Amino acid sequence: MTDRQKAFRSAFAKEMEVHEDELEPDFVLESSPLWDSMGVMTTIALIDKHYGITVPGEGLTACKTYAELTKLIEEGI
Amino acid sequence: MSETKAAIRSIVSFLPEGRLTNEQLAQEYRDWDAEKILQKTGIRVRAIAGPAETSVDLGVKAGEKLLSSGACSPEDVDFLLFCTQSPDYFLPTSACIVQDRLGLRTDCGAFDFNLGCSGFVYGLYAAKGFIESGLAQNVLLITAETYSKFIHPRDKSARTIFGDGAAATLVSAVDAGAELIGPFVLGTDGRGARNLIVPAGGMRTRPTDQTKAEQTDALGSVRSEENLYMNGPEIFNFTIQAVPRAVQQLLDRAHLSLDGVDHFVFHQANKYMLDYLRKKIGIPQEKFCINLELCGNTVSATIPMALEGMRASGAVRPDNRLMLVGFGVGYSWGACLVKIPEE
Repeated sequence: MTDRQKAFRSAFAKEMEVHEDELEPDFVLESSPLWDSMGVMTTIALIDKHYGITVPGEGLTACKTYAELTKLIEEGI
Repeated sequence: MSETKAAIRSIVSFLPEGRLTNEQLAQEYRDWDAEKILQKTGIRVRAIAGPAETSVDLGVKAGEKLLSSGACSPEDVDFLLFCTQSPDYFLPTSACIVQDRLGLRTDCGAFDFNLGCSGFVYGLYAAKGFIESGLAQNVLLITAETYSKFIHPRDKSARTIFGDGAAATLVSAVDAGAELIGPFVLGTDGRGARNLIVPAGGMRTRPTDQTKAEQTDALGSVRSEENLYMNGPEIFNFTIQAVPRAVQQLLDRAHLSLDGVDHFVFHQANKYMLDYLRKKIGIPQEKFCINLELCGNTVSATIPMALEGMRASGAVRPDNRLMLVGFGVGYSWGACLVKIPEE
């Protein structure tokens, strides 16, 4: 995992109020009560801040797991 | 050398009496917490228009308050600009109804314009043009909105953000040595039209039983095609690209740096978005206005409401340079610099 990926994971865990260790690839995003419309917006901000890219909103909303989220980011880079 | 310049002379807002609090929302949406809503959105309570209360009613109330304050008499207004996306009727023009209810002269020009969150900046642009070209002396700009009427009661995200309200702003001709409104940067990108929209009810898609059918989205909000649809993630994507760019373009146009601006008054979308924009652009917190705790996002009325509050608290001096930035539905955006002389 790169430093950038680590920094994103740490920030995402904080925003979703989960422990970083819980963010395994199969982590279900909906298991955090903060994965709602504001949570999606927060994630866009984190992606912009850490990767300097925008990801399609609909693609992000459709993500079910942390692996799908990271795949969406990698595809955008 | 002194010349005729347009200047903001007075701003008065009006909120309807209805209220929607975070506690009410938390009671309806069981997995939500009132304090969390405040932390994320910056909103504690939203003003909501009554069932029979429209944007025209709110705009007239704001206009009456401004006129009765002595800022200007109805006879002195020679142009009325009315900005709303929730008019009383397809026709006639809401501004014509407002002209009559405010007792403005019948040789007063009046028209509506349909813009949302960028509406106030566009209104200033038009008012400045009318005044500095000699077409008008006193332009009454009313921005009034009732998005609550478009929002489905179970659309959690839209209901949490938007409130209803109106503001009346008097823009008048003054003798001044320098520009008091401007320069401007305006922008439009209709590719974003589908991301903040009421899909049915206009001429493109007439209301039918089908358009009334309710659907639940991936995040649990419910709406029909006759309700407001907001693609929050895409709106956020648009905003974090367009707004920093517009701010920089305006600074370049005015040959200024961020330090040359005393206050930044952005459209009050929600606190999270505003905080993110502020940090991304590099604006010091003490120069950045946040004003939505007690009213919510009132669309085209947020900027004048914020200005009214800042003036009332003494935060703005006549020599202060303010940057106003509106952005949203359309997509449409606008930014300008203003100095506001004493009333």
